[in-house]
Amino acid sequence: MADHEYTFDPDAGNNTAASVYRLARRGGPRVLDLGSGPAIVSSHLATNDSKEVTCVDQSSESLAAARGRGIARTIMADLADSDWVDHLEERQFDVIILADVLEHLINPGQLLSTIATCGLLAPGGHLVISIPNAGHEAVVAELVKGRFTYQDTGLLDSTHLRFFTLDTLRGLLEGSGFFITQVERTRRTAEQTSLSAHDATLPAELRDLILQAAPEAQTYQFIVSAEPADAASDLAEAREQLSLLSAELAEVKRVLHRTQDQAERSRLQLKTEAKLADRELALLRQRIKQVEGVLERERKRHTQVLGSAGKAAAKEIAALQRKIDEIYKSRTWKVGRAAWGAFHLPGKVLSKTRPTPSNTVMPRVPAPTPKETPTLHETIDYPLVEDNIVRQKYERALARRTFSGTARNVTIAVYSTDLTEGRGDVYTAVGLGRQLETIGFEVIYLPRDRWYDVPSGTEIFVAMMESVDITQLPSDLATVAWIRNETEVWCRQPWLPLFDLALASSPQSLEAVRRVFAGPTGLLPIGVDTELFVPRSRPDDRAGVVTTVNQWGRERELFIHLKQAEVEWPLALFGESRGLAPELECFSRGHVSFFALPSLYNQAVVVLDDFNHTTAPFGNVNSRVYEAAACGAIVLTNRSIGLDAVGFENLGTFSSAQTISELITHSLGSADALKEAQSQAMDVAERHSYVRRAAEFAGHLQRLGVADTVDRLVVNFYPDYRANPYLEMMWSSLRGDGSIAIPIADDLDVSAAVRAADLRASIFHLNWTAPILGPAPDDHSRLVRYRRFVEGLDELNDRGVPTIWTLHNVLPHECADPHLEAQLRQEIADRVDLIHVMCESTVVACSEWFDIAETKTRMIPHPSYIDVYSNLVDKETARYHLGLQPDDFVYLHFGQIRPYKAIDRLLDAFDRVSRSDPKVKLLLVGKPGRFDGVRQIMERARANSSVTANFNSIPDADVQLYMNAADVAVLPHRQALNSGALLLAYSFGLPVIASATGCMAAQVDDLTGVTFDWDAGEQALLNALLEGRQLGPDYGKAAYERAEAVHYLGIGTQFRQLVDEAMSLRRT
Amino acid sequence: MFLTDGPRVFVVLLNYQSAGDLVRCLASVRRSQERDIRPVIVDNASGNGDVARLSKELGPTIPILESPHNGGYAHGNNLGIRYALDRDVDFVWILNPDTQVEPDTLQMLMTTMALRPDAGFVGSLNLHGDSDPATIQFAGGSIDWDAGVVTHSIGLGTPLASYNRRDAHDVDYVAGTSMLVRRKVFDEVGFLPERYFMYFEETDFQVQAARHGWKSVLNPLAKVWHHQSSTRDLPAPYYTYYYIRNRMLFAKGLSRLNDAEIERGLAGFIDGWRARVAERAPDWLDTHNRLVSMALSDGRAGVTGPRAEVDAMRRPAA
Repeated sequence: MADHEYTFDPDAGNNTAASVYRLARRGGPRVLDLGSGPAIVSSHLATNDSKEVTCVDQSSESLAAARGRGIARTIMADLADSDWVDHLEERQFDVIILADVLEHLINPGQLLSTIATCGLLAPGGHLVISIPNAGHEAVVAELVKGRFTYQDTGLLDSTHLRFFTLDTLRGLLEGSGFFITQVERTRRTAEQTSLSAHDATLPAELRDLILQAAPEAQTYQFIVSAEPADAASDLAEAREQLSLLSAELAEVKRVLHRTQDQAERSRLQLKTEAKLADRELALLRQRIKQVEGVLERERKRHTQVLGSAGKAAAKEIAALQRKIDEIYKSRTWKVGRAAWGAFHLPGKVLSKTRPTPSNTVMPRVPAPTPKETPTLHETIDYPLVEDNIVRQKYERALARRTFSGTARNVTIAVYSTDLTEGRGDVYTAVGLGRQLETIGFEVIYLPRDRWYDVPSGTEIFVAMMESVDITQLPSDLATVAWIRNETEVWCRQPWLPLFDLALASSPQSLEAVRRVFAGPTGLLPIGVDTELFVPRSRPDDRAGVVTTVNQWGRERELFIHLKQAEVEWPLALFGESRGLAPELECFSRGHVSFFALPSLYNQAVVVLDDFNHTTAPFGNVNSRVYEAAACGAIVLTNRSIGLDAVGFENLGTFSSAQTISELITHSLGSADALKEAQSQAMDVAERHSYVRRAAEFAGHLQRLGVADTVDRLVVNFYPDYRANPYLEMMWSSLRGDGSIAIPIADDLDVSAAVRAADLRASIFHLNWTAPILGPAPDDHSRLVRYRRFVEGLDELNDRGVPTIWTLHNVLPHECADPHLEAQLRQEIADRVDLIHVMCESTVVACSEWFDIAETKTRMIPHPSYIDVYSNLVDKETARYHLGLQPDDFVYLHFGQIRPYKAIDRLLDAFDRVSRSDPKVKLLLVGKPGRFDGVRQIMERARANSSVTANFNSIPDADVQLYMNAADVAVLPHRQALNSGALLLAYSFGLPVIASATGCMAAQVDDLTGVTFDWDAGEQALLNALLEGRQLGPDYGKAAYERAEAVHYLGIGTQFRQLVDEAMSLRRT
Repeated sequence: MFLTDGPRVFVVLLNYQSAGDLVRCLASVRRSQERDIRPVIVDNASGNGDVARLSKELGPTIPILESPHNGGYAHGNNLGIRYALDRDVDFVWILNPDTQVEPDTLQMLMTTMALRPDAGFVGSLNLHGDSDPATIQFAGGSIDWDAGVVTHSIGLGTPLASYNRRDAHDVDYVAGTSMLVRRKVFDEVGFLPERYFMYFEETDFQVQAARHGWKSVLNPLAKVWHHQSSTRDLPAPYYTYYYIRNRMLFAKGLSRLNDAEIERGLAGFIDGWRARVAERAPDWLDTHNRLVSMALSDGRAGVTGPRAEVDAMRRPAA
């Protein structure tokens, strides 16, 4: 393969190198990169993730380049020969990478077999393989045009010897004893491939057909993770079964076609044969049940044996089974089946799935018998009728691919446009979209694999899913988020602030959104399609209790209550029932299509609803409530929150087995309640129809680009260190006045700040600068990032956005190019309006590297952490939890393990202090950074019984354990300007031993601890440790008073004044 | 807010000459499985050296707010609540110092808060502090608005062993002895009403909050042992006076009943205690009757706040 030199962003989506990197990063430390080339990806693993990487390649230049990137072990070998194994120093690896390798080998199976038979993968290890997709539409296009022209690079690289699709790759792997556990994809359209110069496209119609028939046609590369398949034979069996089922499906479809014809001819004759038909149907149902029983057992067995691969297979089996069931249940099938008479398909199904010794229709396994319930209840059959006319209308709406150009063009991104997938968002989207079409819009719906292929002409883009990353969209679209569930996830998405309009389905969701979103917002509840959901039945026609609540594994509250209740009424549970309690299985009735819901809701007296864990806190009322109420059923649900906002405040709400029983009994027994529900139905349709929602949506659109009427300040901040409480402490006073903070979404792009500034008063708060240049892998990209950031600052300046820079350190603690970093800081210092420093000595400390104008400089001390971390646990309890004795003397180092913290020297000095006194202990707590020598530090700490080490990040509520267990905190920093750890210690009334560096020199004095001169050597630290043992309780008290003096509330007020000053500077 | 992961809880402990109880209570809170709790102590002008004792025993890092005067339950707790609200709190746990909690009490209260976003208050199952076998002191409160606004403690005196409810369920009110309150309630409804001085503050507050849509929920799995000295045979003067007067104030403020209807609702309470005093401390009956009449006339006149002469009276000797 060609030795391409390239760079990649490890976090990038749709990028093969990044996918390989992410999949390979997941495993253990020993990595083998076969056909490594210059080790672009694996050198990241070595340097960023401290992996021990061995590279094998046949090119000495490539391996030299790999060594230049820090790869210690390189082996020159040809993978086509199997003796490369003998050169390996190690015999086992946790991860073996085969990135774009297999397609270059004559016999790739041999290489995989070598890996398997030599046992190169350690237990728990995995392969990471990337491979070009031979089924790409560009290749198909070549073939269609009668060509197959090799090229220098790309899909048809002239060095490719073998070609794979996902299926054939899977076959290759399984043949060698591996199975695929995960598949990632990079996608490109034909135009984006190197074949595009070669006219790799086809006529649009043909292309659409190909895309429909071959869902992977725009997959450019597959990146898979694979594991040794102990259960490979089982997997093969499952596959065999799958293919049998597929064949069966095909056969069923054929039969269906024939029966449809026959049905047409036999319609008149049928009337006389109705009785026969009924009997046949009953027989059919019984047989289907038997087959289901067998399948279910098989599915469970395979799922257990096969783990994730098995689950995928089981899922496919289930999907196929569903399709077959749907056909069996369809009207056409039933009618046609009766006419066909002699055809005995179920017997065939049975014999194909599990060959039976005799050709009897009796199943080998009895169908699952319903669990006996203690109370007798009537079972009601709800014959379901699908509204196929409306279904076709939905299908037609979803089929649109281009805009006609005569209306306002709306594109709606949904999870799937496949109506059989049964995902709710598509029905909601089409429900709204169909009505938008009646008031001057045209709507195209995009499934998740086409979200970013926005149809040309789109003006308004509506995201129904929180995972739609709008930074990947063209910037000239008006973007709308419609938040109907998962409110918290929506609010955490870094790109949420970039939407032009945010709509939420409940006031509570809206409130949460407004905390992070500055633009215009609006309330848009879910609605109901009144072409489907209308009351069609009289009260006498209704009976029983139904629900269509799906359970996907996590047990729903409704089912928790129901299983504890005495079910004394007819109950039918429709929908997905994964993990349904055994007590309830006997009520389960399987799936129901969206288009059959109206017939169901018109037959039941009571429809049970259930807010799930993401909708309950925010009162996002489910579509089921609107739909069932619009059909005139009595709806009961598990929350009252949110109901009043949409006029459902009178719905019965249950919170226990007892209350649900009471409500149901009352509803079933009260003719008035049903009458009331019936009379409300038209009102529900009137208030919540999508006709109405479409008008509301159009109204909200008018607010696009209009500033929020609430006068709020927006703090745009960089970098996005939201997890660091420092930022929130500084903004506490601003927050109190309703300001919101929005991170800059991209790691460099300040355009979010610019966009927000267009809408309202805004400031830019810059903090740590390390992430500006830090991620760059080389000098060139460092310079590119440098320029982009400075240009961004200039643009902010041009827009008149006030800028504040909080100066945390002289230079980032670890940086590749200090001079460039200093130059960048100089440019920042020259551009910002105000520079916030935390102690007086900052200006002098920085002058070695860059100059800051004293006129711009404002001093606000570092806030303490009082009231941030809880402080409840006393010393005795804390020590008990950490395994320390009451009479121990405990030194504490708390915070990230980084080179400048000089932990090695602390361990040296501590060894000498503790040698003579076993009661002296050191608590070493913090996440280790990645630097040379970090392992030695960790190993030394673990080997010393006087050291209690915790190298994990500490949950907020546990900070108190370490702080309160200690007698004194040690901060042996080689150099640091500010130390949060010092203020943290003070906040827990802990005296400190600190090196007299940066601001700490002034913050620690005779009353609060001991300082020492780092440059005076190890002895100075040793003396300080000894002196620290003598500090009495007064020191802790004084330390706490220092912390009180810089409580975050006061500091937040000072910062607020700084912001006011920056704003007024801009105004004048 | 966003300062730390997860919800932030402050526990407010109101002290009035009960430093010993409070230290014992805090020790039980410190054994909580849920460690993310910030204690704040309010001293309602104990004037007996309690503050010095507490700050010595608890160290400098536990805040003690000193009220300049004893303004009663609501006044003292409101100081602590305001302190907490200034510090980005999500939930305030109001806890009497004469209690001890179980290690999972707060966790249970928090779980209910998480599951019930419509709950403004979650209360615990309160047990008689020294009862063995355990008996219930409070398992939720109900209010009978028709019979003169009678408040009723569910489960009072029931042995714990024969109490079977396990589910968190709605009640009319939970006891102020131990209740977790959602921050939004204070933002929307305000603070505990301070006109009562003692009794009915939290009931009044919960009725007001219910009118904003906030539910009061009792979680029977959250247990609190209440060492209240209420098992005495005879009613303390403050109990007789404040209970009668404040129930009248409560009913007048929140219902449409007239004085006569309200007093008819109180008759059972008054007669019951009077009979007991007559039987066990006949010498004290006159004083008791005076307290009752004072309470009734103050209730009719709408007198609020503390009554110095009542507070100065000693308990009758049995």
